[in-house]
Amino acid sequence: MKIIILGAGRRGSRLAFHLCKEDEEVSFIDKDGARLDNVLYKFDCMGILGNGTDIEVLKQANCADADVFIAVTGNDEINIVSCGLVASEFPKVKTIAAIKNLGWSGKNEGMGSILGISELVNPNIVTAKLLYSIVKNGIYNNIITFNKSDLILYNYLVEDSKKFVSKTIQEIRKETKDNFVVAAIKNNRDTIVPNGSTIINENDILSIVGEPKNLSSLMTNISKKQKEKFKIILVGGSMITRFFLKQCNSSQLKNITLIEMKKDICNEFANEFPQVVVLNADITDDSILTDSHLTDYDLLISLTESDELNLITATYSKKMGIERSIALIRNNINYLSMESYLGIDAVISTTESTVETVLSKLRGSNVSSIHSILGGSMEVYEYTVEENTKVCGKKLSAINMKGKGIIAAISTKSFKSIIPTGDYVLNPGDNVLVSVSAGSLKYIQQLFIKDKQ
Amino acid sequence: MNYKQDLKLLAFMQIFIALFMIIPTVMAYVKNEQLAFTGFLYAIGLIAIFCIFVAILTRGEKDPSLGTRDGYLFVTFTWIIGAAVSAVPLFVSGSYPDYVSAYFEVMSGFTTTGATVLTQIEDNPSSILFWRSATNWLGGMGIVVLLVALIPKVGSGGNKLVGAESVGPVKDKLTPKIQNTALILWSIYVGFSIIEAILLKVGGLSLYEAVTVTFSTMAAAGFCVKNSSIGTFDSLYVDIIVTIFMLIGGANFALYYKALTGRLKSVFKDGELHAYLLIWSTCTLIIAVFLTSKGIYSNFGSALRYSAFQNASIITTTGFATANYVLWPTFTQMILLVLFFVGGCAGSAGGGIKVIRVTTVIKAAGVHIKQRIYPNGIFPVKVGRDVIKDDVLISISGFIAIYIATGLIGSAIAALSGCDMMTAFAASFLCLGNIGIGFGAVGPTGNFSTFAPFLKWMFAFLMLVGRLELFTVFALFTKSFWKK
Repeated sequence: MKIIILGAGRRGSRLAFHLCKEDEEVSFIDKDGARLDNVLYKFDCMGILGNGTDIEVLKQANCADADVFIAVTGNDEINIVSCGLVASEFPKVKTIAAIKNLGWSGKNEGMGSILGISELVNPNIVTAKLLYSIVKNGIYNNIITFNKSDLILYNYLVEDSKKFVSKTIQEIRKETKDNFVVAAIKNNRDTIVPNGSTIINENDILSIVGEPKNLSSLMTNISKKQKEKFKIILVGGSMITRFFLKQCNSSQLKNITLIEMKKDICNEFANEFPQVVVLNADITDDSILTDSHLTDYDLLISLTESDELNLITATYSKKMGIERSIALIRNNINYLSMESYLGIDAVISTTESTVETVLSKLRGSNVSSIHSILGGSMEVYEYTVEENTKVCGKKLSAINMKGKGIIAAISTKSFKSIIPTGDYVLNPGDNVLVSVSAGSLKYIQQLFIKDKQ
Repeated sequence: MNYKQDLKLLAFMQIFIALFMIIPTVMAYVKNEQLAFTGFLYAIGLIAIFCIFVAILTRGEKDPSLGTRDGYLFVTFTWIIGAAVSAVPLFVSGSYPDYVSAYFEVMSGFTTTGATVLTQIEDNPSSILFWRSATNWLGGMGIVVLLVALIPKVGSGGNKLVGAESVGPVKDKLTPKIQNTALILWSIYVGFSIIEAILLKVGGLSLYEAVTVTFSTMAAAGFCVKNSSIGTFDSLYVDIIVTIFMLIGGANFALYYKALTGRLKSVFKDGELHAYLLIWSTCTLIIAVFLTSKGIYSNFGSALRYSAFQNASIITTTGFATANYVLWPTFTQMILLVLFFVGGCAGSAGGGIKVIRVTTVIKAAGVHIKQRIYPNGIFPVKVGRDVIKDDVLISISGFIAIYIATGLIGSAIAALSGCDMMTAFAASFLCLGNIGIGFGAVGPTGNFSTFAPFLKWMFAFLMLVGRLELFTVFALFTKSFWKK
């Protein structure tokens, strides 16, 4: 595919990171030469210096031959105008725009295209959705949920516990009697796609797919039952906060407290969500948590504009006795790996969730979600099996994945989740979770995606 | 740095060279050139041993992540080792008195210099002469660029490899993927080569002559299988063809791609191309007029013919000759000497400082003068339609300074041989600029056979440094390069 990305910032370069691994042809347009130099140094791509709203620049970037145009500058207007230009000048090109200020109500899902733009991605909405699904499924450290399946993917660090070390995956499965699949293993050298006889070592990180209730022996820290009354503190009244609250039902809203330091924003939230307790206070005030009797809450989510404040608030709240905490990262993606050091339960990033959403729009209609795991070295795809694909109607044992991927789980049409055995035959409509090492996407993809003819 | 990965690529590179060596090996066998044939077998055997050794050492390695430093290290060693292996047949064939002469010759080939240590050329085995010219051609567009073009999965590492080998201050990428860019460059190069070979064949040269001359023309290199270079053919037709293709080889290959994809406008507005053609045509005219007025040539037409050829040969750093310009008046020689410090265009097969760098510093000097008159004025340095960024400007000034310093130090060392000043000066700069012919004893009829072995090593080093544009090689000599 020939892909043009407008904006060589964080989101642009994260997109290129994934796309270049998949061997796609990526060109960047940016008006900042230094940022272009940066992506040109990092990835095998081309850079065009200029303004994305200039038709000459778009022509120079060879838009006429492109398959996809992605606008991810920090500016909504530029994204809309450039995508609109491409849509009207080069109608064959699929356009995707990241637009922050769209859908105040949060209800423009599936609205289709506006201004000729094929796909709109609102970073705030996709982040809020991710946040909500994490909260709904229990806040597991490093957990991924899927759109059409109730299974979860959980990253498990093998510590010195004698339980797993030096055993094969088959042995562990027999011992624990749990039903799960190890979709990927990251050891200190690289990431591998395991099979039944792969031996687990100390300090390996296992990506495990299974049903939450079946993973109890692995996830001791999350086996605690979700309380009926799950009390949440939100810090910072941002767009993401709004979209998060929009998804909650009224009983959930009753258990939410929002802390925001600006009075007028407090007023807005108090008007819109009357069930929510809105506190006009500064989270950095040393006594706010104790004074307002918030220390017995179950979860704190820090959603302010400052990455550092979010991380520190999330860490501090756990010290103060709040059971779980989640921090939002807006700018510095490097902080994503900080969760384990800071004792935070989850760190979510607007950049990463936007990038994942944009990528999923490039995958064709039968991919319902994609997630990159283990630092981008593996990806987990959620495919719907369609007729006339290479895998349809085949036994799992007859599908040659060349050791580059694993079919980790299957959900049938009736939402029944199965941890598969080799004898399972794939039917049309089955939803399949496949983990793929990032270098081999092309091969795996052609198994699941229909030929274009 | 990823040493094992570098080694693996290095082995790949040697396999490429071995594959190309098959042609002269077959030639040697067919023409019954015993010693040359053994030489080629030795070289291929050496490569085989090296590759087996590397294969064992790098078993199980897969991660192809290459950094900038890997690019420098790999490219430099590719050239050093590639030349070392390719010199073996030359040495074994008995045409060269010692290994260092053979090494000098092959390095002169790969770096497209075209300087020789042979006093007599035509007496040597044809397979050896063919291989000599073939190294010209391989080195012209760059062997590493060829590797990147043909081996997928070098990925973004390929970018750094091509960056370390190709010439010019700013590297143009023609397509999003470096592999396609490299493939396009080589295809254009091969395409022009085929056209030239056909045209020369039509002009009455034998296939062998046409191919070897093409190898050296397109690469702006200068080896010839004849004693008196292109002058041997004494044909106006050949002179014109070779002059045109030298100029083609000395221009930016990215422009041909733009022209082929219908972006003619940007080609015609290219500042470097303008400067390149302007410098060449001006010098050609001045010399032609002067030669006619001094009565060196009977008419302006033939003066123009020889002037155009010699000028193209020097500015593109090819180093062919159709006239012994050392016998021309000093004024014309001085003009040719000025061209020594220009060279081909960025992204070309030519060597030297490069037209874009020269143009840029001249423009920068102009801007500096304006700045003195208007201390608060803002004057961008523009070449054609492009504004030269400050960091590029700094790297260009640095390049020129180091280039001249290297050449001068080389001249001083060359003078240890006891040769005259002009010879020492020309020998050093013709190697550094990959030109191949100079003045004094290393003029169009001269050669490097008289220099002592250690000087041949130094000249070989100068050629390498010049071809890889200084920084790639010199970076290896800095402490920070080896820091973990």
